[in-house]
Order: sequence, then structure tokens, then C-alpha cells
Amino acid sequence: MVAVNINMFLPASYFRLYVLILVLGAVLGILYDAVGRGKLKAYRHEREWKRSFGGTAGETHASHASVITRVLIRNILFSGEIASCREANIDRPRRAAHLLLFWGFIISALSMLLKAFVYPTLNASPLTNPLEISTNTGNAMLLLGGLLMLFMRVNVRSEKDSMFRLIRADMFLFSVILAIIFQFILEFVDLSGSLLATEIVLILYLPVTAFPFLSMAWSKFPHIVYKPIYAMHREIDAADGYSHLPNPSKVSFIKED
Amino acid sequence: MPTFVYMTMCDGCGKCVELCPSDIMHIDPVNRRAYNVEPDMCWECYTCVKYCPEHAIDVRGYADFAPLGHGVTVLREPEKGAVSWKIKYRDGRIKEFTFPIRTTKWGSIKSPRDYPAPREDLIHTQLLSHEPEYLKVEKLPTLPLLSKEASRVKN
Repeated sequence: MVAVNINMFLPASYFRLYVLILVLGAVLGILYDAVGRGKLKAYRHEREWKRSFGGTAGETHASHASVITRVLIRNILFSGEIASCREANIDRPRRAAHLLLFWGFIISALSMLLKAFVYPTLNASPLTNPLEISTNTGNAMLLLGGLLMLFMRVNVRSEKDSMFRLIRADMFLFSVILAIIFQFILEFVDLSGSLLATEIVLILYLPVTAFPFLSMAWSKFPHIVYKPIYAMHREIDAADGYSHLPNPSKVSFIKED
Repeated sequence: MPTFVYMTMCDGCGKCVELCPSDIMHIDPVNRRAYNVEPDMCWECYTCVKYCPEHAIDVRGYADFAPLGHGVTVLREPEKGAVSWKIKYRDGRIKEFTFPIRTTKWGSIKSPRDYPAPREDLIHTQLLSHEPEYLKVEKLPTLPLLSKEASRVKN
């Protein structure tokens, strides 16, 4: 059985155009959400408001570069932002799911870009080719993280909503899971050697994969940009001695007994 | 005055949703962050404000201590048994207050489930469950029992 060469149905130049449209759609969607809806302006106003509370005793004199590096590693690359609930049974699974989704998305997106722009005619085995292996690893991480996140959704866990109750905030998660499932189905039919099945699944795969990227203005995905920026601003402000929070108590009221 | 959530700071951990005694902290269906769905019905217990690990929930202070145009923020320090408040008045002045919230270590108070179940016949006494020993007193003043009630209580 010989795998189908997808370039027969989708030439490399078309695939490049497709990937470019996805990237452009994502960027424009985030820009529209941030600027068009006034979120950026509201955020700047909020930051100025918090800084107007003045300084506290917490100034660290750390350089901005070291603060940014620390936030990048701890808060973003290791999803440290998720671990603030201080309850291990909530923090750990949420963080694990978030890490799988975050790194799975990065690995998958990079692999897709490499396939589109560096190896456009690649038709290698998914078991031996490093690029195919990394694509599948990223996709598997996305799928696992997505399924885990279904149980960790805060409205399901805290508000006891049904697992199957969908709200708009689920749009991104479900569309990503669906896109990954279609990716695996496409790979399966491709390996099976059936020309007709590959063509049909490819026709379905293209819009399903495009949906999460082109719907960013209406989904909760832009938080991948907003949250790191907020985390950096928060830590930079703290290092500069600005905090809207009260100074920590100088005395402890706990009596040893 | 009711509480409100800074969406930028909220992490969506859902603790305020679980804690709110009025059940008015809910999850926003678009961004999956917490928000106060019914500010008019807020009990102003400030449980969510004090608990929020991200300090994402703030409060509009009472008009008698913080007139319009102010800001109020809260810092909870369970390891010190303290809650601190910072108020920025509209003329720029800032005041801070710290209050004790408890004197025993966090987590040291036993749950009612950890105590042995009281005997059924003690429901006829004037004392509450495990009184007076768990109040650490020898005896509590009570009215004299009628002979009928006294016969129900074995001790």
C-alpha cells in the first residue's frame, strides 16, 4: 500500500497561500480584538490607574531584562500563571493541560510553517521523518491537553455545568480538537492509499483547520498574547516599586499555642 | 458596595464562584473569567475579594469612608492572620489599614465533622453540641429544667 501524495490535490504554492491566510487571519483577528474593540485602550487606562496607587515597600531594583526573562521562563514557558490558585488539585491538572496545549500548539504551528515554506513537497513516512514525527507529537499533545482541559473548564468544575454544555468560550478549544482529529484522519486515509478518501477528507480538513485561526476575533484565543503582556507589565511595575496592593502587614496576629 | 472583577487579572480558577455565598460570581461565557452577575444582590461579605489569589477582585468602598472616585484594594495574608486594605481617595491621598482576621494558624480549626456525634437525648438540653467543654469553661449558666425535660436527659 502506497501513501497518497497530497501535493496532487493541493499544490505546494496553494498550501503556502493557505498557511499565509491562516497567519494573516490570526494576526488581524487579534488586532481587531485588541484595537478595534478598545481593549488595548482600556488596558492602558487600567494600568495607569493601578500605577496611580503609588509605590510600596516592594521595590526590587531588578532590571527590566531580568524581569522579562523570569516571566518568560516561569510564567509563560512553564505556565506558572496557572499555578496561582494554591490548591494542588486545581492547579496541577490545569497547568498540565495548559502546558500540553501551549507546547503542542507551538510544535504543530512551527511544523506546519516548516512544511509550507521549507519542505513544500515533503511526502515522507510519519514514523521515520523528523518533521512528520514532530507534527504528530505536537498534534497528540494538543489533543491530549484539549481533552484534559474539557474536564478542567472552570464552568464545568466550579459551576457544575454539564460536560456537553457549550458556551462561546469553548469555541476555540473544540475547534482545535476537531482540527487535530481531522489532521489524524487525513494522515490515516493518506497512508491507506485511497485517492478518493484522501481527497474528500482534505476538502473537509482545510476549512476545519482554518476555523480556529480565522475566528480569533470572536474566540478566547487572543489571551495567548494578552496574558504574557499583562504578566510582564505586572512584574515590571512590581520591580519598579508600583503596586496597587497594600503593603504587607508588619505584624503577625497568629498566636502560637 | 458590590465587588467587580478585573478581567485582565482574573485567571479563571473559579474559587470565587465556589465561595460566593450569594452565588452571584459566575463565569463569563465569552472569556471564561469570573464576573459579578448581580451586583445589586451582593452581600458585601468580600469573601471573594479577600480570597482571590490574583487580587483580581476589587470593591467599591462604602461612601462613609471612601467617597466617589476612590479605589480600594485588598491583600490577604493567611500566614499572618491579617487582611490589609488600601484606599486611594480622589484627591490622591492614600490610606492603609490592617485588620486581624484570626489568631490561630490557618487550617488549625477542626471541622464539625471531626468532632464525635453528640448523643440524641442531649437535644433536650439548653446547651449546644459539645458545650461547655469545647468552649473551655467548666459550666455555662442555664435555666433550671422542668421535671418533664429533666427526665428526658439521662445525665
